[in-house]
Amino acid sequence: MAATFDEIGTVTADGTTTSIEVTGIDQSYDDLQVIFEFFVNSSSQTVETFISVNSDTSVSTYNSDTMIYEADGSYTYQEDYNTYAGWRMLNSPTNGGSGTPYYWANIIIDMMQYTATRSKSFIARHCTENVWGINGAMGAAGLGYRNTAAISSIKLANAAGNNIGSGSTITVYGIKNS
Amino acid sequence: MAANNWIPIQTISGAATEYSFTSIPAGYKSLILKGNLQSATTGYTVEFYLRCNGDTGYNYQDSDFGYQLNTTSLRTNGAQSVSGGTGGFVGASYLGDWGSHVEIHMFGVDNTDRYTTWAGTSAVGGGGNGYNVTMFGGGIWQNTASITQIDTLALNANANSTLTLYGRK
Repeated sequence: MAATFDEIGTVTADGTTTSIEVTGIDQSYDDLQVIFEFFVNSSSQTVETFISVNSDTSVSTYNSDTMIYEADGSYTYQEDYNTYAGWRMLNSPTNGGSGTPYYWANIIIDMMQYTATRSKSFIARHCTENVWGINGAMGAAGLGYRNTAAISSIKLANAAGNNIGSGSTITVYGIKNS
Repeated sequence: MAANNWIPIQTISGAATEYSFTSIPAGYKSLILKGNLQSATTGYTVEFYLRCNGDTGYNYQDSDFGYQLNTTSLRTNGAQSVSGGTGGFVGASYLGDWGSHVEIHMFGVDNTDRYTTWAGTSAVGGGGNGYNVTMFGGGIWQNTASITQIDTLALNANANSTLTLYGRK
């Protein structure tokens, strides 16, 4: 039997909140694939955003190793450990303060065995490119979640208090392997 | 339960100068190209590119980084105003039968507010000669039109190659 790839949750930002979240994730699948497509309402060229799960705001449960090419010749490797209350997403595009930009962040996170009752490792694929001269993020990150709880909700937020841009989305797919 | 949301649209296989996916239906949140590719071009590895909607103008950005050939030097490369964005890196004629796994995700394909952007991974083991590939590559088409066609550029696929276009609803 072929694997299934079912949309089981989605949220779209209205541009008035600093975070968006998918809650009540179905626990009956083998794996999740989560797609983030977004920008941030900010006058800065890029900002940091954070992805967290299960409303968990502890800094001790999130760690990551990020390896990205910024598309202007620079290459960045970043390790975060016990530092942020979420996985840090570097170089998230903005709208410059108003409107809808041409360049958005695109991030794919594969959450294998998301219901396992042990610490979990996920992979993020960064597919974010920006206008020439402004840093993007193309590459990957290993994400660690040092908590045994199953993943039941996923949130995207901007810690600086800027709103997530209108039309930005999180889409959660459930995958059954057999 | 929702229907399967990763939907095969078209598969192209076999030797061809380029692969062209045409008449792509509207309504997908993103498109995914996934397959096993090798070039018949003379050499060890080849970088191929993608173009959208038949646009051959200098309306793309491309970027790539990772390791290829038989070196431990990290390749980082980017360019603006080029005629295609990086699709991936595949083995070429010198490698023998070593196809490269390629998976490319294209975003904003049916959103006329934003440019179409893609990024993907390419990987091949080149047997005992050390000519391997582990690369990230991507591009931007600086146009907000919905995607109806995707063409490769500089691929020169060999007879064992196959590439499938999927749509994500």
